[in-house]
Amino acid sequence: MSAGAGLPQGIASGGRSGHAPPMTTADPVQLFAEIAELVRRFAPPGAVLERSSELTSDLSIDSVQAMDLVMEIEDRYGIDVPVNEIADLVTLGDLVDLVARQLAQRG
Amino acid sequence: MLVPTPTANADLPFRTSGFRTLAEGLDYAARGETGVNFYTDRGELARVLPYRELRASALELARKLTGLGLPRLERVAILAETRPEFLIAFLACQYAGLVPVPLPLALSPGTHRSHVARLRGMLESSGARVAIASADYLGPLDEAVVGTEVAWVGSHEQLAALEPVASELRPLGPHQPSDIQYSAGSTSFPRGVLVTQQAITANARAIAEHGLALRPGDRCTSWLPLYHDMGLVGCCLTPILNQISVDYLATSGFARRPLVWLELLSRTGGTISFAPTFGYELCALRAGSRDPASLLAFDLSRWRVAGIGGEMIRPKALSEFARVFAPAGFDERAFLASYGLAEATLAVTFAPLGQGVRTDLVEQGEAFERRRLALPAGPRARRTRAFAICGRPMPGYRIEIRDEHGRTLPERRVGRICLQGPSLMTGYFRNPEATRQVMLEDGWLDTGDMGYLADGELVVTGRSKDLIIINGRNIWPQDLEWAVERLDGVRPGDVAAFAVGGEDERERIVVIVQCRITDPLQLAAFRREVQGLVNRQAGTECELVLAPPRSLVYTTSGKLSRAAARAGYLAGTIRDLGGIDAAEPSRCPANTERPALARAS
Repeated sequence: MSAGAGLPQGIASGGRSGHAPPMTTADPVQLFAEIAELVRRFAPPGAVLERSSELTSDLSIDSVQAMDLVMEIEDRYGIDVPVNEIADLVTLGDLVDLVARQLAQRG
Repeated sequence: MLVPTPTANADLPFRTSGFRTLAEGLDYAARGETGVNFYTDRGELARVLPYRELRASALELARKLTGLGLPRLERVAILAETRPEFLIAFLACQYAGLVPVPLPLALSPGTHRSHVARLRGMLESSGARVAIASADYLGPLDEAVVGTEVAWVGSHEQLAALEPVASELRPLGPHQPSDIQYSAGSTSFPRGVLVTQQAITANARAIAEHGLALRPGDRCTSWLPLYHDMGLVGCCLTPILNQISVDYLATSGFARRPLVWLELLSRTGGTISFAPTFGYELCALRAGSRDPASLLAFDLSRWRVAGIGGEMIRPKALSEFARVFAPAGFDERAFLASYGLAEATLAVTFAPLGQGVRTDLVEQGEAFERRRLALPAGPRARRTRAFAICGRPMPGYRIEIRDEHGRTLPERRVGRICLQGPSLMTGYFRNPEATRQVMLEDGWLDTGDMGYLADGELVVTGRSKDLIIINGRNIWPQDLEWAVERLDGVRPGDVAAFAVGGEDERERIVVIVQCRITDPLQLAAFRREVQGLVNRQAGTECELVLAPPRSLVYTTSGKLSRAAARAGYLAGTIRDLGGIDAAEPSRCPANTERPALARAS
């Protein structure tokens, strides 16, 4: 998240310009694996990460960590996760699908 | 290229008083150049709205709202997104003689259903006839209006497409309401504070003249939600009534990238910004994970009021923020402790300006816990706790600490914080029973918060006896209890939720469920189900205790005693069926700082 540090605009936001080119993962299996890897950092050790794993109840991701995770995903894929869709995210699968939709929209 | 509104008006004299209504305040501010600015989650300037334009847009929309043919003082519910359309609609209601009701947003994963239930409770309680959101948020609102009195639901764009009426507008008058504030109250029992024009203008004036000593050259920066009193009254309406420019970042943006807040303050020269302790804590946490040299890019030297409110003030977390951001020019004397609540419109006390967080070190133990005496800790005190001193009541306000029988207590005796002043609500909207519980016969308000006075200054020792605040979010125990009671095998009254103090000043949530299951496998499955449910509902990890039947006690009127449940838990008399191991939370992420999970008292 600190790739953009030091730039006058975007000192804190890590402005998109300061990042490696966004990934364009099209393969759903690989996308799941990538996002599961990001999620793993917030989940308890040994947690089973499946499409049906619930973010808050199974993976113990609290509201603050969830925002941290969303930011990491936004920066990594160069997408915006619409704030009005966050409440609808229940499972890890929901999250992966949302990222896939945003990637497809971006084209 | 967009340019933010200027910090001060060129010719218009700065004025803090003389406005009887919000509309009068906006009429005056619209004669200058200051206004509001909206930034993206990454801190880019997106929309600029001078008060002149805000007023023009509000007047235009007021004519369209009037075209809906609603009787005067009907309620208009507006999803309080941090965007110009919310402000325009809120202020259009002022000009159209309608009462706006700001509605909350859902910011956490998996909260769709509880959000819809919350919205529905507020729509029912306020009897709103109109409900407005941006197109993105119409989904939950459309679900929530089912079965309510709402006759028109739609987006800001749909509203703007309505036909305006030509007749003269009749704004809300000085003796009429200004809005209904739902920051108090749970989903299951929503309580809407009816704020009057008299209350809002009186409170804004006291905040400006006494609390903050506002002056031309001040500029406000805010990421606080506009559906909370601190965000709406403190960082939106008070600036309008004082012609102060504001730079807004959405709460969701702050939650993802908290340091954008400080970047905005650096760039725009903001002098005033408020947050709960948790906001400062999050910034210090994020800054800790990056190169210290990068913090030099911030310039926080012009930030003269770093206000703190909204939850229990945690002095250690604030010192940490000051330490981390001192190289960026942050002066810890800018910290300003305050105390307020929606029932008083917003602010009641402010600590003196320019002195930072002052604390009262109190001896813990027998005297404090049983006799409720807040004695200054001597050098030999074994256990101590530092409470933030929140200052004296503003002119026109009075505070008394009273015991449970209504008797006034002397200094340094902990009791219920009761107050009187020019911005007290007259009551909760359409809820005489809840109103009777807090509005005392002598015209005083019982806040439900606990505290004591030291040299006339207020020290808060605990917020509302039941309300739990974690990471700046209000969590009502009733909501957690109701959610669990709906599960199979759980009966009403089987569940008690409450908070206990953690070791590093943070609170954590304990949920006790009376459980009749004896089969170990069934018990494990039940535990998993309830744990998931309460974590989801609370948005944070809760400690779950599955206790044998008859662990919980009830008052003579049959109400659950959370205080007794809490005491039993702390004393170890309420224990988990599974023994000590099972009482430990099943999981604890290793990469987060959490309070020690041992039972701390």
